[in-house]
Amino acid sequence: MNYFAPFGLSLFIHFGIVFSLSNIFSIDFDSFNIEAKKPIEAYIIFEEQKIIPKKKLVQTKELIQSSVLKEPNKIIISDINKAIEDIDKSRNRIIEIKTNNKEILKSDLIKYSSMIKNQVLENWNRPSKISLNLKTEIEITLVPTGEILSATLVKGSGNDIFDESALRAILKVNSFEGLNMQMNLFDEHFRNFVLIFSPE
Amino acid sequence: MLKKILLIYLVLFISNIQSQLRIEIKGGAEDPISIAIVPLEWNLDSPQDEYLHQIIKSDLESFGEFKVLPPENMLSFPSSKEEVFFKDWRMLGVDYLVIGRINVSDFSEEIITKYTIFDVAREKSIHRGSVIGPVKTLRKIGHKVSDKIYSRIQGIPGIFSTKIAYIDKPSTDDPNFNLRISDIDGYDSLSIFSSPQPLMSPSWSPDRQNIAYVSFEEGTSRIFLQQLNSAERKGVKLEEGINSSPNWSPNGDKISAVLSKSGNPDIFIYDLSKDTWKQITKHFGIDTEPDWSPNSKKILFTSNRSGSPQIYEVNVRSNRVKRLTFEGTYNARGRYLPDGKGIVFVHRKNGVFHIATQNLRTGKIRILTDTFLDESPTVSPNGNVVIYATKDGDRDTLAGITLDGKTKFVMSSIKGEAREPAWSPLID
Amino acid sequence: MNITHKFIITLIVFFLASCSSVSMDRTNDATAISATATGAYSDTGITSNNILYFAYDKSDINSEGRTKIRTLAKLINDNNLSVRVEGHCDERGTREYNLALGEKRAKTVAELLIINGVASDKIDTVSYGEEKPASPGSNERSWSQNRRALVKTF
Repeated sequence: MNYFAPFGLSLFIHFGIVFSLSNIFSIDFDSFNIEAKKPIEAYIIFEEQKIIPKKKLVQTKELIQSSVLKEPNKIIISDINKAIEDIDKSRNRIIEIKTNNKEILKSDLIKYSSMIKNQVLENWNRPSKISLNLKTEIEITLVPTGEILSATLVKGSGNDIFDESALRAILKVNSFEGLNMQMNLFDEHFRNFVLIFSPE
Repeated sequence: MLKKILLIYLVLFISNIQSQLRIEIKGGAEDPISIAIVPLEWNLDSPQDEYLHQIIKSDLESFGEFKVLPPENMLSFPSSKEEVFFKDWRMLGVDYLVIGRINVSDFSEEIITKYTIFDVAREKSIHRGSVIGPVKTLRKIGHKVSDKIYSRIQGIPGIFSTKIAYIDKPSTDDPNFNLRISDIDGYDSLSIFSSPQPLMSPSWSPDRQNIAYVSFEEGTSRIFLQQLNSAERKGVKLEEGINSSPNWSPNGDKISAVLSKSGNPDIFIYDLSKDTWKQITKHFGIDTEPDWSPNSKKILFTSNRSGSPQIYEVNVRSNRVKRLTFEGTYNARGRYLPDGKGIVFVHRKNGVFHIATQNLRTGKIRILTDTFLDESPTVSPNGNVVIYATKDGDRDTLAGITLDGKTKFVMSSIKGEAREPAWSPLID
Repeated sequence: MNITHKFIITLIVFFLASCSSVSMDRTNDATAISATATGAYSDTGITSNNILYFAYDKSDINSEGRTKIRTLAKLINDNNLSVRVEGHCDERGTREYNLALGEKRAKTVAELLIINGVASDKIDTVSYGEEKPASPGSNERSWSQNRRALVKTF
């Protein structure tokens, strides 16, 4: 057992933790990031395999890659991270995600998300006397006409009054207007989504 | 071993793949909250002199935070849940609805007021309350209901049952100085002490039962403690020189004050049970205007030890002094905000005295007022509003502003020339 | 629309801990009681010879003032009088700080009296801060009248 393997492994573990934890932050609307619902298909992975980030890690990384490839249902962390980094860089380009053989345009995703955001904001009168560092997450279920079927509090801010103001905003909207999108886009992203309310 | 690590990665990664769209709603308006107070059903034989819904409307609209629907715009006047048609209220653009009834209680001379607060959008009751009391305390009952409505909707306590103490100076009607207490809406003003010699610096005890103040009735400044229920007065142990600026400690057992017996004004603490004075600051300059921090650990004070008045903080236990204000050449009469995170004080800029706030963490100053000769700021116990003394031409008046700077008002209900306002603590 | 709305209402699920609260309060008609002081101390007559004036925020005496004090000291000693020096301020600035400034003014005059031969045990000082102005206006004319020390003899 050489000294480099455990050291390299430890480095790899730490990088891995940092990269995977960096995915916990929710999508910032302005730097829009599509997170894949299904695993990215194999051919993309093969393309990325050419890029080997750190020389030191070559040996151990290749080891890991080869062992995982034997089990195609498992996901390779480092390469997925690389793929997502690429998506980050190309936020202004239209990316086509191939799922179910139909194309979902990123621009439509942004357009309808924006409509929803504006309609909710128009109706959100938030309590002004409480702390500014609050965040409430509410899961919405819609029908294709835009009517809200359900609004469920999935993550409270810790302040009931703030949470209530968010729920009341949604209730006042009642039904989103102008959501005339492709069925597959609706099913994929808008039948069920999460609204994150924060003052700032 | 490697496979185990991979499994850990897998778990981490899968939990990070979010299959759902997440949309951020950032911002939101801070408009006045639209509320309807339906005139409460009066089930007493005696005629109604005061109307609870009017008292509540006036309370809630005091600081620009609520917009109360006038009764003439109401489509119905429900007094029970069954009579409420939420659709009607939604159409009127109302977010909250309050209904209620006033009945004779089982005890004579007392009435029981029952009320319900509804969230119109959610079509549900969010609070049911009742207040029992003598019929002549109808205004107090109204204020209690306002407090509950306010706290349930805003998330901070209401201050409509609090009082303001202030000094008014001799006038053509009255040759005496008076220490007065009135409701925060200016009603029921009562003089609790009257004297031909000046009165200064009223300070409430934390239980609201006593007021400390300075009186010149003996020819020099002396601190007196007066019990409100009995009017019993007690002069605090007199020392040579200045005896002034009393400030009750948060737990009510001590009073910080200013004595100049050592040759110059310094901050001292008076122990009520021991009748002893203890010196806290020792400096040849002027140290004055002490204010206890909400956690009792520090005392804010004004000192000119750096050449001109600035605000300092002294640790009560260690006596260590720390300077807080660095902007401008006159910063004085500091008062802690109830959450202890900031102070409000008098700040002179370009020769004009304003009320300003300072964030204790960042040191950032914000000038609140644009009136002249502003002084004696006092903060509401919910940290929302500041009332201060200012001038209207040559007349002394009291004015106020919300701490977010959005709503300004003048306390026009106060007759005479008032100064040195002191906001009472909350009860219960 | 109505049906759909009701549909929405029935399906909305909240996880809030306490949506609805209940309270019971009580009022009483307790009120504060009043007290009065009688004027134990009154102002005696004063002439311009007994008044010293000060600049804004200052407690030092000018040469005219020193002359006055010398004269006063002689008067006091010749007649074996007792003295009470009162310090006053104009209304600008905070009241308690002005109480301290008034005391400085009174003490400065007292010190000068002592230098001019008056026994210190004959002198008493008091500050009224801005509480007893000579002139009620909010302008420099009034303010300059109020920044003073009074030497009262008896």
